[in-house]
Amino acid sequence: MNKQNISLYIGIAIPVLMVMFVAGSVYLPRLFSTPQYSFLYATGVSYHGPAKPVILNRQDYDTQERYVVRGERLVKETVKVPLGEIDYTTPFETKLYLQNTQTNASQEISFDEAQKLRLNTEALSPDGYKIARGSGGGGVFPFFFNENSDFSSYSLIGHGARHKLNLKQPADTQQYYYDKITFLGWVMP
Amino acid sequence: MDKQELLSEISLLAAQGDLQQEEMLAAFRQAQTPKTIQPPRSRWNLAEILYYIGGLIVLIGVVVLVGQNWEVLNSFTKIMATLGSGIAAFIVGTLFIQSANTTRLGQAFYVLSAILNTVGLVVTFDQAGWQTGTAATQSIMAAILAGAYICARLWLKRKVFTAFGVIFSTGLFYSFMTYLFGRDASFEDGLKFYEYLTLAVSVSYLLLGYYFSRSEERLLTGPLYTFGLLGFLGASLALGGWSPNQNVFWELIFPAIIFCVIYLSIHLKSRAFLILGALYLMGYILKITAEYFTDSLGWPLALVIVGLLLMAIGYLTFYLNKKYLKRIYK
Repeated sequence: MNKQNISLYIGIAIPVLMVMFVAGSVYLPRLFSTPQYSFLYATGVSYHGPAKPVILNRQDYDTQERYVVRGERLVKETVKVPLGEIDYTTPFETKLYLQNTQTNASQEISFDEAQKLRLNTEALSPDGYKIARGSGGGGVFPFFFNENSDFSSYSLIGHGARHKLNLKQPADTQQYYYDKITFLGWVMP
Repeated sequence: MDKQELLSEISLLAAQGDLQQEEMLAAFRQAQTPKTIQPPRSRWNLAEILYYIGGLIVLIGVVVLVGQNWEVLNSFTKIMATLGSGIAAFIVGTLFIQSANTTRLGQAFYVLSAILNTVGLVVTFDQAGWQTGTAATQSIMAAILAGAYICARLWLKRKVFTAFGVIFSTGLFYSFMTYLFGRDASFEDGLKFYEYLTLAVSVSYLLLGYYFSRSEERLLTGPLYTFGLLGFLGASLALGGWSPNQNVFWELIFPAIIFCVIYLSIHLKSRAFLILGALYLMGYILKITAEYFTDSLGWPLALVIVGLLLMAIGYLTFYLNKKYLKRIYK
């Protein structure tokens, strides 16, 4: 191997080693990190739901139901809302799903079944994972790729790894401007 | 001293034993061989310029034709008009390059085919239902093009394919790393990620440029050195950041990098190293002055000092060029 060929070999080796290093940092943590906690989420929840009820008079308000967690238990609250503030364009029925993070599968459950679960509403799970929207952060001009603006996908991020989630989402594009998934809480044992 | 006087002087020295026959012959041989290494120059004439202008016009025509009739054309026609034209141009280039008179024309067709093949591949993937804007798809397209042109280089043994191989391999590197970047939770700063990528690619370019400088493909050395330096010095300067979020390591090491570059300009006998090193040194001085000294010295005094430093760098560049590089580039 003469001196001239060494520069060729090193010149080719540098980008190859960099690819291997980055690929290793992406895929190796996934082998050693396994989320343990399932979580409960809801679909079909309007983003424009009221933050607090406002009563004008008995003829000028309607009622709207929403799910909240009180004392680690899921409850359904009925709030009174002025007619002008209710979002009637959201035709979706609210559904509850239990996401098993180990099998990466969602199962629809009823409100009665969900009430039996003990929920932790912290954004960070007890084993150090959080739910993130979109499949990637970053990308600079001219390297903006569609993947980095895919707001319909969700991932579980923690311990240097990213696990893409298979969640049940409403298919209608009208929901683009709404929170498609409403996180309710981590299921505690 | 004329020739007759010189010959008489040589005879006298030989008779006195002060001059040997071997010394005479060595001096004569030295005069026969060229003293300087002339870098190969690509001579452009009017015909070659017209070849490339013609190719550019053909390319614009094809792209506009397909673009204007995009809704009307079926998938097969779209692919044939773009990828098919690219393959046809490649075949034509291969035929022209067989003859010494039309070698340059053949190379122009190769350049045209490279661009048309790229457009054609995007059209093909689009018609196949793939999302062409994603990093994954672009990685696959870049891999196909890089592999095709590396194989063409090995099979047809034409140096022009080396340039395409380098370009498409660079595209593959960036698109595949972007694909990986989108899957990693630990890389949060996208800009820094690409700065390090550019640093790595630029070092590769410089090493490849050095390799080609001693091979038959030394024409690639100039562009590789230029783009390699632009990327390497630009990324190093950018990694230094800006106060108060500066990276002290890169800000401190940058002058050392610059002086290495200027030293290498003498060792490698490359004007690109000298000029770009000087320009980036000027840029660094302007950056540091604006970051740290305008508040203490004030803008007017800072400008005076910067101006004097730039003049000194300019003179140093001129001096080094005249002493070490000018006779090479004559």
